[in-house]
Amino acid sequence: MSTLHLINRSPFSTSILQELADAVSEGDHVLLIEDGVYAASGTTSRVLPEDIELWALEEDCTSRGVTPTSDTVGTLGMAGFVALTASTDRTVSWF
Amino acid sequence: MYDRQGSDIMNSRSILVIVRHPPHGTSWVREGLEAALVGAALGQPPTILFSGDGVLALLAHQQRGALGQKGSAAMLEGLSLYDIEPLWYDQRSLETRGMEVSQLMPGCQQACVADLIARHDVVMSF
Amino acid sequence: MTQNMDTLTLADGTSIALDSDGHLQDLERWSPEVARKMAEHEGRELTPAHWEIIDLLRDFYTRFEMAPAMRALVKTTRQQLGEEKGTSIYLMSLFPESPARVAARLAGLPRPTNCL
Repeated sequence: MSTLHLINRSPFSTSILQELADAVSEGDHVLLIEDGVYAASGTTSRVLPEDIELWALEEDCTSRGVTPTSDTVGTLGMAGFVALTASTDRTVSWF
Repeated sequence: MYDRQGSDIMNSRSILVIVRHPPHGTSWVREGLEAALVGAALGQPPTILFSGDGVLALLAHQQRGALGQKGSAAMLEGLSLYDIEPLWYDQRSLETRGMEVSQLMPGCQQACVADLIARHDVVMSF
Repeated sequence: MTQNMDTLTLADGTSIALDSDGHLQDLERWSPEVARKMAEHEGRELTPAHWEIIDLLRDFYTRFEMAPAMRALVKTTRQQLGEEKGTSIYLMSLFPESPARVAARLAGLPRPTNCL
């Protein structure tokens, strides 16, 4: 049983990552999309617990010139996004 | 005693409605409540959680907007008649906004957000 | 039952606009006479038992700013008027077809938002 959490807002204009930190369970996936990918580089995402899988959508990183911090953030293409949606039990959109 | 008509339409899916927007600036809160009411009308009252700016919708003593626009507070008080209770809130969201439980309307209860999400089949965000 | 009537004419000649569902376009125009006229057009007669529910609905709308769907109507009726009246069978006998919708219309409320 796991949840896919979608983040599409910049982590700098909202306190979404702090809010999310309390909402995730071990084994959940967090996927950064749209402006959410600005949380993929640097150390911003460190507020999230380590027992979750953190991903950034490749297309949105490329268009924004964002390079994810590779040791903590994986990258996924659209096909991976679809596969992740299918393999998790539910999706929560934190827009 | 209840009118259970339609209860078999959604009875296999438990629904969590998460409200994360403040009440007066947009219609997100009202839309979330209306979605919850549809579930209740179909015989499956959803669970409702207020997180982030959504906790601002729970402040007691709200009024209509300056032009008489409806807020969401009156609707929230009617949710128990649809068996949608309690009004769950995220404690951290309350704290980061400098709010205290005593400022909230009756019927609110502190949630463990991660557990609440994990316990439901479907999560709808507003 | 009259379909698609879009105005209601009162005894003094005032006409009241209705929407395509037969609800008041301006909720402020409601009066007991409006309810009686609406009922008359639909071939219904309002007894004290009907008025009890209409008053309860208007009170519900004032408090919660929404018109109750069936479930909430039954529950609020039970709370205010007791077990005997707080049943869907009783409400159905007063307002056949769809009690929540019909009674809301007569009480001058909008259509119940969550009434499917």
